[in-house]
Amino acid sequence: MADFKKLRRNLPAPPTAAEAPANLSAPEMAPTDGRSARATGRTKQLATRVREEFHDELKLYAAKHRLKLVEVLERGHEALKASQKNSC
Amino acid sequence: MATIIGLISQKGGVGKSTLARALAREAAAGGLRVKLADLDTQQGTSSNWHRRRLEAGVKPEFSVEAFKTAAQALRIASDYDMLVLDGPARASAATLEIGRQAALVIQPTGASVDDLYPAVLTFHEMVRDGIPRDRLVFVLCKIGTDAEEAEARTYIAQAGFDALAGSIPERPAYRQAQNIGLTITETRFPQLNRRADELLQNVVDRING
Repeated sequence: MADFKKLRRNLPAPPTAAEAPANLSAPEMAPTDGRSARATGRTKQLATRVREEFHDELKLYAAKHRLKLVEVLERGHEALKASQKNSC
Repeated sequence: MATIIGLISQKGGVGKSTLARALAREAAAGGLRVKLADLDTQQGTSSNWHRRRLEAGVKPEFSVEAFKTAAQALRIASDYDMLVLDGPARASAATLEIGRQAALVIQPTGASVDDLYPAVLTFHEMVRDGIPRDRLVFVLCKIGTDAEEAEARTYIAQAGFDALAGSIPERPAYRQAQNIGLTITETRFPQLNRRADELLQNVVDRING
């Protein structure tokens, strides 16, 4: 049986300087396609901590109604404002 | 003016944050005013780790801050003795700027050709764009065996670059330590801590010339 344990496993030759790409001229911030954030105007991050049950409930509601979480938040806020106006 | 150390790589998961945190920790333990700048705001690897460290109440404490750009981080360098730049997993104009400002640019790499090949190309590009070759060093991370390390060292030497003496072996204990806000010099295993510390000493020695 062939003894493969003694097979030399040298790595291939490394790339030469001539093969260097031009990555270092790329802008620091990766360009975006400009569709999502700019089109919707949703450019600010909002993070908060919530209870696990509320988190699950929110996610399930969004999935069931095919909404993004931000849409649930926006609609919820609008509903809250409307209910306060009605109660005044 | 701070001594600036840049951790850069075209790839993710090679050990940038691992080394950056350990460097900052040891510098802080040595009494230096140190800032660890997390330049990857999308992932926030070091920022999130720092939160875990603070919550666990681990000493020594040191400052970790996320920056949108390398230029923003470099602007505050004069407020510290050491600025450690934990770069994003992407080579860009900012990588070049880090190379121009840093006393030492460390590129961690694994021993596979998948890691080594793009890593060598990045350093070739930096040299072509005017960064002195002796400012660029590789650090071998996630090493499995001595033979693997030797092969990787040969590859790097053939490419005309230096790899610092020492390496970070692939050990679950290093991951477990970092999961709870510790560094690779703060594991439960003195031998692993010593091995990491020896590598960091080689970083210091390299900067001191």
